[in-house]
Amino acid sequence: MKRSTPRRGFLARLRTDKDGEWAPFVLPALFVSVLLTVYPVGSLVWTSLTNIGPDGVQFVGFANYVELFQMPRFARILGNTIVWTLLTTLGALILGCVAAVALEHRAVVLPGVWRAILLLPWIVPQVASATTWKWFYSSEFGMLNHMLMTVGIIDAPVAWLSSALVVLPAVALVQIWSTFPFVMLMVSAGLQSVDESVLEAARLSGAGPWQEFRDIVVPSLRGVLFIVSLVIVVWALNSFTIIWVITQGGPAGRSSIFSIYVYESFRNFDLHRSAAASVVLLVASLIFAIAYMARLRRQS
Amino acid sequence: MTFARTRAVFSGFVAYAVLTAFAIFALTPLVLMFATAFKPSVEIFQIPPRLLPDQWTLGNFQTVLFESDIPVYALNSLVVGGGTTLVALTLGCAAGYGFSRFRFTGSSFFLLAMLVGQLVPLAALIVPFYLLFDGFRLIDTYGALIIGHLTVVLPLVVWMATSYIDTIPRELEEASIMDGASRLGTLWRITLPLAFPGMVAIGVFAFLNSWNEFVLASIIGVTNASRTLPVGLTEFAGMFTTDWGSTMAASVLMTVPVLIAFLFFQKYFVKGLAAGAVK
Repeated sequence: MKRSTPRRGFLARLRTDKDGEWAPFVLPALFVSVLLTVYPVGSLVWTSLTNIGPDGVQFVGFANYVELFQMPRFARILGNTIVWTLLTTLGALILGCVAAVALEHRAVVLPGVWRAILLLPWIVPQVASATTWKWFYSSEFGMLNHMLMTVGIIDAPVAWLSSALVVLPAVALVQIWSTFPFVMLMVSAGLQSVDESVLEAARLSGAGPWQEFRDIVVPSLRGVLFIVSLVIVVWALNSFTIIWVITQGGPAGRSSIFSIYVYESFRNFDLHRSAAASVVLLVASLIFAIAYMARLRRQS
Repeated sequence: MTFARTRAVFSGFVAYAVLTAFAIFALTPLVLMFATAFKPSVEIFQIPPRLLPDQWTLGNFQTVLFESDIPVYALNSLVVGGGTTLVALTLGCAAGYGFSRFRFTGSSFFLLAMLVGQLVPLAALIVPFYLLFDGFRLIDTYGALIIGHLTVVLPLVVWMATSYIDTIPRELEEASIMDGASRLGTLWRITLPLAFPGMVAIGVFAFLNSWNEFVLASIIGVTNASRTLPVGLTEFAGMFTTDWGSTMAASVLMTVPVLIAFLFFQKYFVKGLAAGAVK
């Protein structure tokens, strides 16, 4: 996370600035990036504030937002988005931390091989893995029902993707499966950077292994966990591929979250309401992104 | 890996048990993907299902390669991924050099903005991109897909290139400039060769991001002229609603190049990913 160059004072930075040698290197990429972010976002906000009236496109203020919030489906989509974000974030964090702690255990030989295996769900293209999970979940011919029945966990096949209550957690599990490796990677890097001398000192002053873990290792992971949580939340809010491929938000909207609604209303040629929903999604993500940026800035 | 962070809180046996459970969790769907791809259709729909095929067959791959449009989609994905990578690497590595070697007003802010930039949700930008490309009659072209993918890939490449060039000691460049070489000459003869392996890894990473991208591609690549593999795969699954063998074979074809790249570049990926919090 840390950049190797130490941050200098404002004056020093200004001084190296004066010949502008950096400009030809940095400006093209900066220009393209700004253009590709600022223009679409600006255009999006504008679209969300307009609609097609009798005289073509008209400014309508927040009418699209009001319509959006008053939709009968709105409460369900909002609820689903919150449940989805909580489930996938907590799930990935817990699984990722457990995996990292096991991976960094001293007794484990070939940790590199284990790491590579556990990283696979994250490496595989999401469309391909989501399609596979859809097949895995199939109620009649699906492998999951068969495996769970063989082991004796369930007696009859579960309709994972068509049961109103099960579908959202089932799809969330796929998102957890594909993002926990990221948490594992970051936390295990964090574990490796715990200060050895502090641990040594604690040991000498008689701290037990559990105390050592709780009072030194866990607190030193706080920064990593904070950043990882923010990234995972942003991913969860904007996750689209997994849900779309597996259920398209169904059955009857039971697994539909904001990003799915954005896509659906776009497909139904309701560009202006889709834009309003997109802005809501962007603002929600932006809150976490700004926290992320502030935190990184403090660290560097 | 000789540290002992988590030693003795629990035993090595527990660590192995946990890792084994995770490996099963991670691998089962992938084994299912590969196994189904090699199964004849009678076995795919047999009850009770079995994970591994009794009779291995290449029939599903034959269907995908010779009787479907998947090869066309793969070609489109290659072109779009290649174009995105080329542009992102050219602009991104120059910027990485600039960010790494010069401090200027706002440089640390812009660099952080790049890191946040690659988190921009493409799913929330489909409306403006659609309107933009529709206005320029670019829907269903490679150009539109490349521009769209650059939105997330370029910031990613800038960030990764900066961290990579940071690891190349600048003393080498200073020595070369002392000896009378120009800055550009130094860049060309000293920095670029040293940065090459990192650039390759970053390029592969950029390519994979484009290769995997789904939501934007699904609204731009509306016909075979530019439809990419991820989009083609979902339509494939819809087209033959019951042909899971071919669908899984197509998934395998899409996944294998990614796995090979991961094997070769694991070291760089793990470092780059951890440094940039990216995907």
